[in-house]
Parts: sequence; structure tokens; C-alpha cells
Amino acid sequence: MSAQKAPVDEQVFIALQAYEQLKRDALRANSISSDGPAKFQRLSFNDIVNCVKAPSTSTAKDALILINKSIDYRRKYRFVLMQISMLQSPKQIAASTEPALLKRANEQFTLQVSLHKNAIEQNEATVNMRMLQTDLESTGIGVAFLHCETEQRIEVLELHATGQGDFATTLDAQESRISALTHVNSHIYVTF
Amino acid sequence: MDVSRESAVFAVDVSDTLKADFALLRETPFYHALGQHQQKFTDKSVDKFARHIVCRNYASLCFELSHLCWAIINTGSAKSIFEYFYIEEAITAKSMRRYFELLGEDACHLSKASITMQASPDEDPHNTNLVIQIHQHAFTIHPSRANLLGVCMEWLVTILPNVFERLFDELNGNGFNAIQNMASILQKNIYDYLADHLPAAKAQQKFHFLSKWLVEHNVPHFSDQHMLQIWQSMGKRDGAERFTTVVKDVFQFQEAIAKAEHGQAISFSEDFDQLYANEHVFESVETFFAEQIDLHALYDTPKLISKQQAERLQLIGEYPTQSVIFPLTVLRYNVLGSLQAKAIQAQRNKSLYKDKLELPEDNQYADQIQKFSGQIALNEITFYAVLHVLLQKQPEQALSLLAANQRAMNQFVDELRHSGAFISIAENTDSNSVSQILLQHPPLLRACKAAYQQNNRQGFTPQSLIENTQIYTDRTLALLQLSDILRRLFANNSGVLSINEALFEKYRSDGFIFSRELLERMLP
Repeated sequence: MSAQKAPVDEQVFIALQAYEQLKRDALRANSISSDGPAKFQRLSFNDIVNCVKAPSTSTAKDALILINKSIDYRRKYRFVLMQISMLQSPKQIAASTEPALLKRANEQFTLQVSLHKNAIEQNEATVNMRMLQTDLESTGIGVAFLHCETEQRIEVLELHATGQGDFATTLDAQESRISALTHVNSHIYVTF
Repeated sequence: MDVSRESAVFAVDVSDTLKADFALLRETPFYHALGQHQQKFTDKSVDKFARHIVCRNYASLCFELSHLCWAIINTGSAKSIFEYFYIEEAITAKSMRRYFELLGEDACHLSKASITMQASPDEDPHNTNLVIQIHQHAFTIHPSRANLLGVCMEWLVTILPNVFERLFDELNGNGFNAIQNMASILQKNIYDYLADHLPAAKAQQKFHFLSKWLVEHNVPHFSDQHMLQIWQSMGKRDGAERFTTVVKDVFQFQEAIAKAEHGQAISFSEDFDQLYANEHVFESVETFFAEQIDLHALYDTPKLISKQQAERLQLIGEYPTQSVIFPLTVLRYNVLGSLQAKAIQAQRNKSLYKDKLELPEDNQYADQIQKFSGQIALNEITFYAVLHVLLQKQPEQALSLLAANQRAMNQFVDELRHSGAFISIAENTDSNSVSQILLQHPPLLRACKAAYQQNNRQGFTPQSLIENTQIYTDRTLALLQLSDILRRLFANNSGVLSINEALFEKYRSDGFIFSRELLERMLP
């Protein structure tokens, strides 16, 4: 662009902005790594809400990767969970024995993780959740989601109904979702 | 985001972050339509919202949103705002009507307040509006605003932490004052956020004015002869009364145009990686910052120039490139700027008379030119004084400082040769070796000592010498840069800056125009 061709040219504002940005960025240049904010894909609050509402969609799975990279996104995710989760577990008290570590209970539901070997001798973990108050909206619902929040990340497990108020799933025992679920400081929220 | 849409919406430029905010709003999906790419907010709403924000016209929007949130909170619970916007997703006229109609007329928790859906007498009874009544205060929200208010809420959640909690704490159980207060809080937070993402409103206005001025006067760019006219045409516009301010505005405008032409600089701000991959860009960016001179540092201890000299050189220090292009403006800035400053001061002291609005008879422009050229000579002497200090304390730094001043070295070599002194320097000797040879030569050492002894400023007397000699080196390099700019100013404008009758004529005519304008403005 040139002032001669187009004197009233909004490009001057772009330039002014770029110049100011240039000065600011020059100061910050050393502190920003190559995968800094410029390359960081952003999520709206609505994206986070949708991620909590429908965690099994591919959009939500992609969003969760980004959410786990940002404290602010995790804080928003937790806020949304507080608004829409049906059940919450208290923080697990440190357990002295492994079986106790893999079992949680409060007055509304019990959660158990049992380890076993499958047909090809691989370690598997089965997660069972039983609703203790059947007046909850669990009746007739086919899927329940466990959102496990630890200090560093959020993991989501999808459980399928196996009976009235009973939900279960089986997955590899080495999975990060199992370690998040059984983590001493994890906090668990249930959505349907 | 669609480029044509972007340029249509953003009449002024906004930061990439803010553009990304609007792009996010545009792409926000409806929950029940996941996978179908159905937008939660209409393009029209996002465009409208973007205009509100970019034009800084968001006060009424904040006021309206505060009313809506007040209605939601005082008919529900702490979770209601979240539920309204994200569970019910009441962001269409229909869903907004349904939400409040289902609540019923007695839903408001407060006495002497009501929240109802009412139709205007002359409208279709189904076209109801949300009417909020708090004591004597009544406010109506048309449901067609639902989508726009939803956009606003979504954006606020992105930029403000804990906005739901803040809305609830402020509005729950409180009346109209709380709504006003909440609207002010939102406005303040938006203002703070926009400070980083939009050019200042005044800067925008000034730039628009200058762009328009060029079109109206059918000139491609500004020149020296336009400066007084621009100042006159700006009249008593806010922040443009002083001639000095107008000069700086024009210089900023000129620089902005230069930056716009420098496309690579823009790409630099967008992608840091390119900077390191592309040396050329890096060099041009370096050039941007190399030029400005911090004159405050030069009159701090060690005092390389006096405060008075620094004031005279202020424009040149801040806008060296523009100063060289606008030589007469540099003279006017100091002479006319000083006259106006004194007149304003006199007006404040209620002692402004006509004679204080007139320039002295002697050619002040010539005086400025002499002072500028004298400054170059003074800087040379100060340079030698610094060399003396460094030779006493850190001879290596003296070597590198002299090596940095090729002009002084050449001059000394010539002087030594003219005076018949024996000096043998091979043609391909590097600067450091030359400076080493020169610094062993008694005439240079004597010149340095003499310059030091004549200088009694802070930092050049035995009592005020500074231990950290690096400060002397760094600031003297800036001083040399200042001398270079002054030399460039004279070299590029030898005709304009010659002391002759034409300059005197210019001084008299400028003085006449300026005094008459001041007279009209200050003593009408």
C-alpha cells in the first residue's frame, strides 16, 4: 500500500498496531517458546461447555487435549462440571492397601476398579459404578461419563449401562485414564 | 475467517487476538447440532457485536446485558445465568420468550420488582417483550436482542475471569443501583481489555483527521509547508491545540505509513519463527529501534548534554528519520512551540497580552541552526572528554569507543599528517588497531585531557566520576548517533538550513501566521 495511491487507507492502523505490537513483542521475544501463544489454538467457553456435555464426540476429544494444556481452560471445565454434573465424589483419602485405593464410595454411588488378566494375558481394568439412589436420572440412561480431575489434567471415561443404575467399562490397566481415576487426589464428577 | 467480511466489519484495525475472539464467536456451535456445523450466533449478531466493541460503543450493551442478567438471577439461582445461556441456550427470540413465560409473572424474588413478558398495545400479542420493573425504573428488552446479548455474554466469559460469580454477587437481591454498578464494572473491564487490542480512540480520531486532510487537500503526503496549515485546521480539537502535539501526530502518522509499507515488519509480529529464519527481516527490525535516542539518559550523570540542549533536540531524538525529512518543522517545533508554551503559561497566570504572542525580531530559525551545528562540535569535545575518562579507568573501552567513531579517527589521522607528525598506518589496518595507534599519540591524548579539563559537568570532575565506565561508553555511542543525525539533517537539507534572506522571510511569514492564529484562539 502507499499513501499516494490511497491516502485514506486503513492500513495505517494496521501499521500502527503492528508497530506497537512489534515493540511489545520484541521485549517478550526471549520468553516465548516456539509453541507459544501464536500457535495455540483457542477454545471458547461454549466449546468447553460442549466438551463437558458430550465428551464422546471427536470435537470434544480434540478440545480436551487443549484443555489439558491450559490452567485457565481446566478451571473453566471444572466450573462447568460444578454446574452440570449429577454426582461428585469427595477427594479420595490416601489408602494404605491397593484394593482400597481402587474403591470409592459415598452416599450416592460406589465406584470400583478391579484389575484382571484378559484372554491374551494382558492386564485389564474394569470400572464399575453403581448408583445408590435410583431416583436419580440414571434410569433409562445408557451412558455415564466419569470426569476425573487431578492436579495436572482431566481424563474422561465413558461407562455403559449394564443394569438399572449400574454402569461399567473395561480398558487397558496401563491407561492414563485408569491412573487418573485411581489417583489419590483425583476428584470425580459424573455426567449423563 | 472470511477476509472480505473481516475488512467490512473492521473499519479500524484490531489486534489478532481480538480478531480471533470474533472468529471464535462466529464459529460457536449449537450443542444439539454438534457435527452439523450449525452456528449458535448469527453472523449478523457477531458483526453487530464486533462493531459495538471496535467502535467502543459498548456502554448500552453492558447496561442491557446487566438488566437481562438481573432478571435471570432474581428469578432463579446462582446457576441460572449458566443455565440460561448454556443449558437452555436461550439465544433466540423464541427461546428467550419461552424461558421467561415459563417462569410466570411472580417469579421475581424481590418485592416491588417484576419481570414480565408484555406485548406493546399496538403490536401482535405474541410479540412480547421482556419488561423489567424495579420501583420507578422500567426497562424493556426486545427478544430480538437475545442473540446479540448471548454473543456479548460468551465474549465476556472468555475475557473476564469468574464473570458468573461476579454477576451473581452483584445483582442477586439488589436493585437498580446494582445493575448500574455491574454495567460500569463490565465497561471498565472491557475498556482495560481493549487497551491492548485497539489503537487508542484519540489516536484513531487523529489518524482519521490526517487521512482526510490529505484527501481534501489533494496531496499525496505531508511536507514541511503543510505543518502550519494542519495545525490551523485542527483548531481547538481536543489534544491538538499545541503545535508541538500536531507535529508529533503527523510524524507518527508518517511513521505508521512507512511501517505499513514495510510488510515484512508486520509479518514479523505475526510469526516469530520467520524472524529467526529470515535475517533480512531481523535487520530491518533492528533498524526500527536503533534510531530513537534517549535524551534523558544523555543529561543524566555522566552529563553528556545539558537539559536545555536536550529540550532543543527532543524532536530529533524521538523522530530522527522524520526530522531529517522535515527540517523546517524541526525549527518551527522549537521556536513556535516555545512561543505557544509561554503564551499558554501566561494565560494561566492571567498575564497574557498581545506582545506575548509575537516572535522576536531576530531570526530565531538561524539561532536554532547555529545551535544545532554548535551541538555537533560540542559533542565532539564531550567525546574526547569521555575518552580521557576511559583512558584513565578502562583503556580497552577507550579503544573500542574510538574505533566506533570512524569520523574522529579519520579526522585525527588527517590532523596528525597535516601537522607533520610521523604516523604510519597501513591501508588495510582494522579500526581497533588504528585506535590503538592513535591512543598512543600525544596530540590526541592532549586533546582528550584538554576536553576533560574544560568539562565540569556531573561525571567529568574527579568527585563525580562514575565507577561503572560502561555507562560512559554506552551513552557516548548514543551521543555519536545524535551527531550523525544532526549531520544528516544538514547534509540532506543544505538549501533549507542555510542562513540567508529566504530563511529570514520564512521566519517572518511563519511568525505572522502563527501569531495571528494564536491571537484568534487566545485573545479573540
